[in-house]
Amino acid sequence: MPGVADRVERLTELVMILLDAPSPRSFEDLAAAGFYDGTGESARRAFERDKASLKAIGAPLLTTWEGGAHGTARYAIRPQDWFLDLDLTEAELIALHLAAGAVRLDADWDERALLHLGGDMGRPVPVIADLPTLDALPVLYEATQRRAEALFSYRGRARTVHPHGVFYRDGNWYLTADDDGVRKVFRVDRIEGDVELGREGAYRLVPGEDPARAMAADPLLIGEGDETTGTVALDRTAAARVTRMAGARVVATGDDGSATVEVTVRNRPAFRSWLLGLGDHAVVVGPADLRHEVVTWLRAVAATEAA
Amino acid sequence: MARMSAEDRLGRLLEIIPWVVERGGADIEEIAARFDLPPGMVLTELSTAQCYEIPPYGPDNTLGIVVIDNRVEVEPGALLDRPLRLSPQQGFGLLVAGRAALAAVGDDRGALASALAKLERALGQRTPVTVELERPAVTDRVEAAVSERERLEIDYYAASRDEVTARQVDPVEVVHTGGDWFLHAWCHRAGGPRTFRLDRIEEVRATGERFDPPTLGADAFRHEPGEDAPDVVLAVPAEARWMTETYPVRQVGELADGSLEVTLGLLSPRFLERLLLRLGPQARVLEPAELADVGAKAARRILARYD
Repeated sequence: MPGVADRVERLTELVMILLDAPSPRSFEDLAAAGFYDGTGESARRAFERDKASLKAIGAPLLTTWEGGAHGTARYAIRPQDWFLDLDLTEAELIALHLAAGAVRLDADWDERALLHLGGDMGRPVPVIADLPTLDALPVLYEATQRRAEALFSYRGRARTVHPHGVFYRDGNWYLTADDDGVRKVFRVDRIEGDVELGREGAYRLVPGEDPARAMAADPLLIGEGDETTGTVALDRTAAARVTRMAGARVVATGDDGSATVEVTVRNRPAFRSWLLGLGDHAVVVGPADLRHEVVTWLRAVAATEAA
Repeated sequence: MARMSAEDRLGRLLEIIPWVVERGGADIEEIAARFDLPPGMVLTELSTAQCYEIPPYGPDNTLGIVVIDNRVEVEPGALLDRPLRLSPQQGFGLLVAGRAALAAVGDDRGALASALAKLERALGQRTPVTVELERPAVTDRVEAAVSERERLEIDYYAASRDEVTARQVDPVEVVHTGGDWFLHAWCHRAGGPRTFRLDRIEEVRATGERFDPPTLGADAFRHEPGEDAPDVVLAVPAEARWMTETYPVRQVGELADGSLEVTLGLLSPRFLERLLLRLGPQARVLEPAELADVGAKAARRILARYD
């Protein structure tokens, strides 16, 4: 073993010996076994680099201290910490392969996972869904696994939050987290720079809590504004689509295919955006203040002159 | 693997070994294909790894790898013969793919659901990741037509023309991308492949006819304006940066007054109208000049409905 030139060999053999050890090994034990050239400063530095590499590949290096916190550090990798034990049936393994084939992620994370699980799906399946991925997502996921603080910048401000999960809706990923004790939802693609993990075990998760419930599914209901009921008249071009919306309550229909609906509004800009997206086919009937806001907005746009 | 880091080489080795064990041996080419590596590198790496061993030296303290000619076998019971636990990226990726597949098919029973339950337990979490892919009401009907090769007649709201039209289509596939569900179909009205948003299909009627699948290229179905769509350049207030995340913009710059200069493909005049109405009075068209008053004209037309 002395003179091991290839670092991959040394790292692999470190993994083997730490997994195989009947009891944890100290740096001195490893040096005596030939892993390092003595116990001097450069050997120690090499050992520190190797420990960092093992952590980087996910090796759960367990450190114990013999003789208290200032005693000798001993290291081991417990098989139960490192090996995967999913106990999947054959049907379950195939189902996961089919899922990973049918859902296309931007990253190969799921494909890499399946290399661990073995098996295959037999033949290729058509893609039914494309999902974007973001580098911050697995870090935020790891934060929930470890109940660790997540540190990042958002809207120009440094945040330290307690993540409670992530969710995907309408093409975007969101983080549900407590920020200074206040439950908030962050758009993950708007997180500025990297996410770092802070203190672990910093908070508790609510078992079974769905992170998506932190944000209203209806954009008209997202926000802190007072709730109002908007009444909107629709012609036949828009009526069929709008009356199918989960938040729309039909209050009248016309023989010509037109309809009048009520919608609950908490977010007025979102309401205006939705309404104007319907173009000529929708008119706010009431209440008067909501109608007035839309008319004022339209008048301002009508008054814009050619640049 | 000369250009891979020592960590990556070790990580790959730790994935290959249990994969080979699970298959009861594998050829170099098979391993190379599955792990996306050049066969020569696989051969070199595994041949070298045959010699890795820890004290007390002997066959029980090796990785159990045997490479003979083109064939690799790993002796059962050797160290590292089991798959390693998933990294946060891998666990997250597989969970997302599984959750998305469940949501896409709208079924939470069966092998996939039980596989995900086991995966979640192994990852030490319950429900921190939610994927919502809400299926519009027509999805089941259209999917059945895809598998039965059934020609359909649909009433479809074409946003580019702002009208609902009836057309016969041969449904090729149903996909979810960018937060919406789409039907890819051969459209007999247009005489070519077309993409339809499922939530804009207002009615589906059977025609009683079957079709032979059309031969189409991989990129026959477009979701964004093609390169032939002309540029339109807008000046947009900085607070409306959301539009650069929502629309397929071609270029974003900053103007002297802090507002944004956004170039996007002009899908249709109707699309530009709606966009300008939503952006409000501070947005204006910089180019082409003949479209400068599109927003103002649309606002006046809609205001007339409020008189």
